[in-house]
Amino acid sequence: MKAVREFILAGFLATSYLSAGAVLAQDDAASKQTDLSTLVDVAKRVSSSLVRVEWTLRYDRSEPPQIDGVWARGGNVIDEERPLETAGYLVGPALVMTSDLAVHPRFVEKVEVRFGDNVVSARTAGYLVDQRGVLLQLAEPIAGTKPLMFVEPGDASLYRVNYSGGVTWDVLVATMSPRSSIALATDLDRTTTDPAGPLVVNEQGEAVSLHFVDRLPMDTSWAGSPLERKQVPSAELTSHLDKLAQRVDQNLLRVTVNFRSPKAEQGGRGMYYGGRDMDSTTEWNGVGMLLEPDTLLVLAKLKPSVTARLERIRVDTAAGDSIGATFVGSLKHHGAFLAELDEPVSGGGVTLLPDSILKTRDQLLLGAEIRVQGESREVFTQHERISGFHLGWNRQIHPDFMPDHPTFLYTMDGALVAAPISRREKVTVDEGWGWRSTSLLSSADLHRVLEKGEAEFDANNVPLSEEEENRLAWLGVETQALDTDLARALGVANLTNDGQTGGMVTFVYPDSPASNAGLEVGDILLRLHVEGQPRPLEVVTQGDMWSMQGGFPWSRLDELPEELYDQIPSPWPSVETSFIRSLTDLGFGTAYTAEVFRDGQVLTLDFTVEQSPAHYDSAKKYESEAIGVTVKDLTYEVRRYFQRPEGEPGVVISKIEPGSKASIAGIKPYEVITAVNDQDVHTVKEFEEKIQGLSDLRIAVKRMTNGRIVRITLDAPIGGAAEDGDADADADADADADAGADDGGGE
Amino acid sequence: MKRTGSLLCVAALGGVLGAAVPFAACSQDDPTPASGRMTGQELLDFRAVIQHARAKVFPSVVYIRCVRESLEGGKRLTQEISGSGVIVSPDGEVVTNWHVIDKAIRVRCLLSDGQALEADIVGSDQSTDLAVIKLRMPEGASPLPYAEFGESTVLREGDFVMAMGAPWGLNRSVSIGIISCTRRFLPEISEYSLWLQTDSAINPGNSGGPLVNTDGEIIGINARGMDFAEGMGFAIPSETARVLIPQLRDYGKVNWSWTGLQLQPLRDFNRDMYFDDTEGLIVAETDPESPARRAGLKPRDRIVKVNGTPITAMTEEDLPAARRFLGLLPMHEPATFQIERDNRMLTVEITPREKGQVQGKELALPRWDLTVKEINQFDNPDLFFHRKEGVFVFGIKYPGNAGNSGIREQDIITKIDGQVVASLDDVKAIHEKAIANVDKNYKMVFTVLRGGLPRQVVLDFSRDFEKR
Repeated sequence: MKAVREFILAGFLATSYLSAGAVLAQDDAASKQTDLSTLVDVAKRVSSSLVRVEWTLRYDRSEPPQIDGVWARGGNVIDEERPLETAGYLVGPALVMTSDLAVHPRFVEKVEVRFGDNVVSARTAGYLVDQRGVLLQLAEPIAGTKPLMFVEPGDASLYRVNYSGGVTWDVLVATMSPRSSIALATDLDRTTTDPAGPLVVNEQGEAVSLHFVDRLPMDTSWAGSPLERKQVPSAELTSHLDKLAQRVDQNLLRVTVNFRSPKAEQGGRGMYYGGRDMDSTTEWNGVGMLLEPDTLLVLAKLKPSVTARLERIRVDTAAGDSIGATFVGSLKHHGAFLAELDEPVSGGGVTLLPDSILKTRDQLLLGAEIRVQGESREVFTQHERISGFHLGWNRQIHPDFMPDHPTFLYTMDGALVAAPISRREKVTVDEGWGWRSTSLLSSADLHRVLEKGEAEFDANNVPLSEEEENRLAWLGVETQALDTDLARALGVANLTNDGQTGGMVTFVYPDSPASNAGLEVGDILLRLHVEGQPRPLEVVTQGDMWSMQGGFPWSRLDELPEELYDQIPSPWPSVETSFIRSLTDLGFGTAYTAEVFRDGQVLTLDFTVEQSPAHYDSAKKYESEAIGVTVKDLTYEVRRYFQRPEGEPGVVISKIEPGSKASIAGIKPYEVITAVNDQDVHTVKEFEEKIQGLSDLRIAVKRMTNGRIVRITLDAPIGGAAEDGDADADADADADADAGADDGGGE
Repeated sequence: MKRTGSLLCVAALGGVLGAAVPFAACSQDDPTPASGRMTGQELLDFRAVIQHARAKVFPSVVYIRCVRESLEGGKRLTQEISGSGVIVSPDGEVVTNWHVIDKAIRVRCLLSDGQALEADIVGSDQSTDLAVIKLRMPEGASPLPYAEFGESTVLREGDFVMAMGAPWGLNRSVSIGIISCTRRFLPEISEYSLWLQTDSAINPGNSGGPLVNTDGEIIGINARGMDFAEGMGFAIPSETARVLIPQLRDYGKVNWSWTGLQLQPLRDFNRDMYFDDTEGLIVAETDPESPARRAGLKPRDRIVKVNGTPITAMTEEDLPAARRFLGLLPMHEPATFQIERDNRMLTVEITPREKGQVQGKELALPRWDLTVKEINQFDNPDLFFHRKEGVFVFGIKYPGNAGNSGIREQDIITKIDGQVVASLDDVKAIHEKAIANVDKNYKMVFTVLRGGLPRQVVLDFSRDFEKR
């Protein structure tokens, strides 16, 4: 929505009305001597030059145009089958000047100009360059109207006239002499005075000026007919837009980013952690802006956990080639990353507007709205206007222009004014990296970001190897979320928003940041203060979501059908809580201070974000297809759960292939293999080594306190180079025969 | 996995009971019939055989109704349940199932002649689901008709059998069928005994009733059916009952010896697993802190002989007998285990000790709206893994205070308001005091162990969920 776009018509005079048509406004003290009847006369004299421009708009592909005024009170003028109206000022017998809606022609069904009951059709003839005015050519003069006569201002008293409509159309008239206020724009070295107009007339109703800006220069350069101002005829604008389209085709490229598959959601956990925006995406399609012939700014706001899986970048050039690109760096504070093209693109490169964006206010600009949807890339070009600005993060100046789709603004010369690069929000625990601001980033701010080079890159938001992609930060504690009763019972209700935040430490891992800092079981983590983040990070843990009623059903594991194996949640809570995710997103090495409640006191402990040792999701794994089992190293949280201290043998089963030897032999997920053929296995590497060359395995399997020996006989030795599997196959057959005989009474 | 269910009948209907007659019959196709090929005349007497067998046992079948006081759904639950039994001595000893008389506070028996007598529990064994009760005989009462045990080991699949008892409370019911399997291994419930499988109609309420051969002898005690199955009933073989009843009679329980050995057979068709050896059985694991672990037995050891007696479990069907053998070793006397380890024969001495309770005691905690139970190594191995002694939340009443406060079943209670909880008595004392002071203090902080991690939960019991 262009909700912030302001109209020149709005906000000039907004006080008193007359229901009839002419409104007499009581101006400030300076005009107190003016006779109100003079104002009425002025209004009457100009009224035959005032018309209503009726823009009949339409949907294009079920999209309405994004213009202020289209949407009103929850409906829009198209659905309400009425035109959008603007005030028109007759500047020639068949010429009307009106405010520029900056609407794409695809949304305009027709333009008509009305005076009383007389209506004639109109077309756009040209655009003011420095003011947001548009010139309409009427099909014929309208009966009863009289064009404005422009004269020199002279010394006469001047009146400002504003034709304003809604339910009724009012001519608002006010005196404008003497002028009483100025604005000195210190940054721009420009002084302006009161808004006036858009129409300025003398007592006789002769026009002195018609302008479409809301600050006037101090001198009289504002006087005169708009027809004398710099204009771009419609046909010329069209050719500008065609040129822009070509430039955009060369500069704004369709980019496809492929990501490695995310890890499988451990049974049921997806409900709580998955499905959030891009977390588990494998493909991203969007826009990349060529900064240099070989440098591309890809406008993708990727979280570190997603960038970690980034595998391939492909760019479609205007010439129809598809070329690769290499990741260079993610911008720390903005939703984009830099990539280097494998080969430079001819004609590529962007010119940034050298001036302050403030000077582009109300100017005739060119806009390119670009949509990439999968394979399709579509560009709409049209002229645009910036009606104002607002301040954003770090004093960045953003145009009041918030398009629904990525839109790039250019000057008529083709310099980039602003680009749809959003700000990257700071890390929070509950919301992650949400999409909040769609403000355009000005060229000057973009330049400031880019000139910092590597210093602006987030070393934590980079592609990682598959082994590393699941790396996480850790504090080295297990926590329990507080609730209202508990927070009150523990005396921390006031510190935890009545138990909505805060986590009680229930376990401290040895040699962890927590144990090194002296965190103890029973401490309550209140919040973290992070270097460079104004908002403290609340400690919100999701541990409760995990635990199953009645604990993990170890004793009923044998009843579970094979096809459900992949859906069993792990017996231990995942270490990847939203809290840990946030710590990870902060980046390793980031300093933070934890507020901790202990024995009635709030202490602060200093930490830096550290990478955790391997955890279950990032543990080294090994899959034996022959056996049908995937095992993982026992990681710290798994060792805690099984009470198997470091050094005790074991690898944990993370996957059983249904129908495999392992599955038939009754091995279940989350059981622990402690030995193969009487030899202890401590790691998946050892497991892999020990089973090499074996066709007859005796695997010691543990399930909590129970254990058993699983014998698996294979047709061929594991990893066997030679085809010496025949002998084993025979042995296997013999064994089967024997068993059959003994097993007579079996099923 | 198939699931078997106990044949308990929650009392609905009343009645009396009868007896059964044996018969001798076998398939005409059987080349080696038990008692020679039957003549046509004998076959015509099939009805007579059945009636004879029925008549020998039917008068000794008992219809049992118990008042059970148990803790279920987080609260004390008193309900009447019914089952069957069979008189095995003229002075009124009745054999039934453990699950019929478990937690009974009153046992009423209806005899086939219409006499209603109260009974006292003599002994029971959860592992084998056997129980012995004694009828309170009136002064000068005449001896009762009783049935005798037959030999279950000679049964063959196809032998005719009759089930007697009170299915669904319909006492004096007899059904007939054959032995479907003489050695049925049912995982989880075949610790010390295999099962006889029969297609005689066996329904809830048949529990504890006799399975009778054609000679009119008890060859099994009906105990279980199978969910969603028809014609599949399971009975405790008389072979097991005969060995254990004297212990139940003398000690009120079976004094199982405990070595802590987890065993597995040499061959396992279901798991496609075959070890090369033809003798002995394999040590899968030893229980923590068990005599076997202390004696140094290791997983993968193969036990070949115990006290000089060869012991072998070729298949899982052999395991119950092997466990029973070990379970009946004399306690506190070193037993000599001959084992093979790494292709060498070793001799290890294990001194079995009493297995003790296989289930912890329970306690209801009204107003807190939960029940607690002692952690038992055999009943709750997963909890025992985390804490060797103590109390866990067995049941949560819904709606109720504990449930509302976030206490969960299987939570191990370690502390209440800072006071350490190590036994039922601890909880009981804290609970009594808390209830007495409920007007002043109705919130207590429970520290529980859930999944091995401590948590704190505030139990607010200000609300009375029993208020009507």
